[in-house]
Amino acid sequence: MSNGNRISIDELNSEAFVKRAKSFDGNAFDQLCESIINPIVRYLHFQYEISEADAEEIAADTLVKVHKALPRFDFNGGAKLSTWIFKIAINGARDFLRQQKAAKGKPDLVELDTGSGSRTVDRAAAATWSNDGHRSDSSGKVAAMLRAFESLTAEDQDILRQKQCMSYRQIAEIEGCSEGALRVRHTRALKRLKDAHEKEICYE
Amino acid sequence: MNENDLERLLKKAIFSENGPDPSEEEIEACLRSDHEDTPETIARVKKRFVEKMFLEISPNPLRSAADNITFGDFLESRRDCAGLQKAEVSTALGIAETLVDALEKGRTPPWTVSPNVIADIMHVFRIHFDLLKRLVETSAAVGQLRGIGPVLARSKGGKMTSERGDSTSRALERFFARNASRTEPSEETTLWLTSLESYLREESENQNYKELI
Repeated sequence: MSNGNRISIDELNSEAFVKRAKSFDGNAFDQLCESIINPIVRYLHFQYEISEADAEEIAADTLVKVHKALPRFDFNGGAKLSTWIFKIAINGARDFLRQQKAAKGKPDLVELDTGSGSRTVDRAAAATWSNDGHRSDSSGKVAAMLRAFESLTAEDQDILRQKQCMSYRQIAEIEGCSEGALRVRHTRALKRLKDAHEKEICYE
Repeated sequence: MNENDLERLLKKAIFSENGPDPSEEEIEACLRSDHEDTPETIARVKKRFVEKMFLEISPNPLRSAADNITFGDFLESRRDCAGLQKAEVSTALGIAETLVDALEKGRTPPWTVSPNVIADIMHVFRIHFDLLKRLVETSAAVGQLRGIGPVLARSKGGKMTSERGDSTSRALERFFARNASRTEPSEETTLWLTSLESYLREESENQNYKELI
């Protein structure tokens, strides 16, 4: 069970703690685990929509990688310890999603009602049909959205991405501007995203 | 497409396998969020972490050890090899750190511990039953020496401390473990090994134990 060893994010990223963690001094690694396990599992589950059980497995893999690479972590390299650990977890999540997609690509026959009679197709093809029998290529839509997002300015990308994990209040504190101004910026960025997405769909 | 659908699709795109990297501010916001911690999640992840660390060094359960070695010395050497602390191992096993310490130092012989605890140790440390038998037999052969360490430490003169007696005992145990000729295990040890084997067979539906027997 948890032993209440959790430390603050500032303490986690402090030079003194990093030094202790790198040499596995006392309970430093345990404090690191206690502080980052829950945020990682929550982030992977709610943002990447990975099941809690799989998110826990990715978090455990992350700890194995952190344990191995921690002695080589460069405090003066610019990256914070928390960011470094999170990026390892995110790479783990992306690998997991790729593997999931590859597994779905394997032939796995299912009975599908296409609206004009049933037919046997593989499960991956079935996933591209919506409930009303119309074709809806979800991975194609996601790819088109990603292209549309990447075509926006850095400023638009920032506000759209930040809004996915933060409230207007949190963003306002970081950016040093009013919540109202952020709302306007977000609405305009969304409008430009919509236009860019429609263009992407037209090109297909 | 309405605004909600647009945002939903955007989320899918951002948090897809090809999505952009989050900024430092986004990560910090997530770490600073005041969600309540779930100790059960932390405990499960820590357990899997320890299991994976041992899996990295022994993908398959070990059936033999390089040398005649006691159960306690084997546990300690594998834990060192995995780079783990006693506290981490005890969390994964759901037992007290003092029990891990006592098992490693030989103060608590394995046959005095419940088979289900030893089965969990075998699973986490990747010990096959064939190897466990040898480790237990060696531990039993040198177990009769317990208590001789403090006497020898005192006979050399100087201040007697429990640490000094303990390290003398361990050095002697290691010497005898390497040089002891194989003897028949005692009735107590044999009975305990039989009950452990039965437990592992009964629980063989549990994937954790299936590969250990």
